[in-house]
Amino acid sequence: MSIDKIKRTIIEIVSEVLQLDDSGYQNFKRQELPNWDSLKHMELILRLEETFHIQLSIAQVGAIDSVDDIETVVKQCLHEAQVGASDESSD
Amino acid sequence: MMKHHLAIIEHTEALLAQIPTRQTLAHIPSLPVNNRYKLRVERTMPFEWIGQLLTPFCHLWQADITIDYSSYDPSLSQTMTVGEGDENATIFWIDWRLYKDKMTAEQAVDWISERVKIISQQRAKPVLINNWFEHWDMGEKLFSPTLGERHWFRSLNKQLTAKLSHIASCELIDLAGWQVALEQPLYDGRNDELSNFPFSNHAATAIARHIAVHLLPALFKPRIKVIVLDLDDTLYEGVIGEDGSDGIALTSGHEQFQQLLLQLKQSGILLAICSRNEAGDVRQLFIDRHRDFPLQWQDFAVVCANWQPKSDNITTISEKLNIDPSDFLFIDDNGAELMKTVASYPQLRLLKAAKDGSITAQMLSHYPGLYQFRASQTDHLRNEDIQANETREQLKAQSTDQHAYLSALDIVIHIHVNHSPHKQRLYELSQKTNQFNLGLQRLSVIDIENMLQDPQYAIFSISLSDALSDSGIIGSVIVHIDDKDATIHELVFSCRALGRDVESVAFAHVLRHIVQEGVETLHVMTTDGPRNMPALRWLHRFTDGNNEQIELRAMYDKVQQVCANHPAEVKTGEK
Repeated sequence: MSIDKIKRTIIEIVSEVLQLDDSGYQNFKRQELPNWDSLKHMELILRLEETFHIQLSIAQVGAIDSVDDIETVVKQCLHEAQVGASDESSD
Repeated sequence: MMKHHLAIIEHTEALLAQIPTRQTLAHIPSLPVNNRYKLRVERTMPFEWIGQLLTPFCHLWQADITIDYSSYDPSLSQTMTVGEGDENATIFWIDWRLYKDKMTAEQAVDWISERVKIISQQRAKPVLINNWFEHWDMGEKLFSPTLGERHWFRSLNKQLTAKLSHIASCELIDLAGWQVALEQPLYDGRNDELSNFPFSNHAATAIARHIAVHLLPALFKPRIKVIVLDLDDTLYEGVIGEDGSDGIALTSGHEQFQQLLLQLKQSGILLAICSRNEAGDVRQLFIDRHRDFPLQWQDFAVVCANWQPKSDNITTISEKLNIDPSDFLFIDDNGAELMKTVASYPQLRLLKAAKDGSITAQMLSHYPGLYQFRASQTDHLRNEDIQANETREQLKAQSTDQHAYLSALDIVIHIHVNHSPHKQRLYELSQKTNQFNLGLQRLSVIDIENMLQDPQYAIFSISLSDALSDSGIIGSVIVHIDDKDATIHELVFSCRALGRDVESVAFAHVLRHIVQEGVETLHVMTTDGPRNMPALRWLHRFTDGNNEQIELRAMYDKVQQVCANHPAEVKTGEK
């Protein structure tokens, strides 16, 4: 998945879950959005995981405080999955 | 309306054939709703990630759900202080792990049962409560079932099931069962640690769907009565007119689908065929394939195989069964055929069969309105009784007059008064009967239980049998007696019993009973509903439209006159 596509998908999910206007990529921060409460946070995680086929650790979930953080964590997970897959194929 | 049906057909497969993702659910457009329900969730763990997924599933049965949440309170003390609310049902959403080290499983079940009883009596609304699933951590593998942690949960589940079966309108959310059905763990340690939500995303969606398409429709709506089936490429693969009965294929998916239909038939749902085929070919199909088809010819209450428009055949099936098409589910692989038929019957429920029979089976197993909490006492009688109607019609045509016809039937009517073992059937009659239902009271089991305990109520349950079949309990009359005044709260008769004047004979008996109790004046509660005209017209014969302050003796004489020569034998008490 291209970087652009990852960003676009993330902002779509964030906008849908937090009911924001999808007006392009913005680095929304958790503390600035009262709607981004613990319930919505968990819903975001579940949506991200099923969309990108990844599993976030407790530490990664806790590290997310903004859209930029989401992007970092998602990329990290996708990279780990890629490395894991290539390790398996080289066995 | 047509757009609405089209949208439902379009989205049914995505919602019911597999467990959809949150992404899929978020993008399913809202459908029009005509019923709104409120749930109260008394919880000791989060329900939100399940509750937020209910809507698209509920839209399949045109319902909208709002949820009122309690705070997190392991003692559930709040439930004891909240009075009668406006919710339609209460869900107890309990993290049973909180109680495992504090009490025995038996104590936990006693503790929750007391709360459930109070709530269900206080609010007179149904209650759902979850059991618990087994999650084996590493250590669990080292211990026998009597030593491990699972022992407590197994014991809890067993006792909870037993206890709840005795509490009216209280049903189980069977998480233990879903752990097996899902074939993957319900438990998610990450979600549990982060939010005290012990379920995986996949499990949360499956549980939401179970609540929305199985449990809630079963609580709030009458069960579907008839499944009308197309044949070619629906019940099997192939076209009988082209491939012949030996050429069509019973794929493993279609076999699964037929097995499911057979189970539904055994649970009391009637099956009918509506197919564009030669009648002779269809009969021959069931003869030729009787060894491998799970469904046999006699499993169908009505078969309409001809070249008439399918809407005409729906009319025929409806007339033969005396059941309104709004209680039908019509399954056909041809979307255009479904849409044409629903244009004539907008209340018809539709399911578009998939090419793969196993997908149709999956969709059917999640179709709203088929789930059943408890077996009905008369389910097994229904199909035979309906089939006997055909013979009754022939007998009627051969008889010189109505009296000769009724005499030939050897009708026996049993009437019981305040017989509590009948309460489940009385509840079903109140919920399901549409045509011969004066008051449309739609009583809950709790309402009936309360009436049975109230000495001012006389509750008559009426059973019917004749030479051709045993119909079981087919009617009820609920009368409130206050000294010399009485009010008929409910009078219902199953459509299966109609056409033999049984309702008048039974009513005469009821009136005689209350005359003997010293009642002088009668009131009859009636409601003008969309389909209960037959009952209202019948009552009009005796009241001339005045349902208040009726002089009971005069009414009794009128009813008695109508059925004076009726040859039925009326018995009271136990059979």
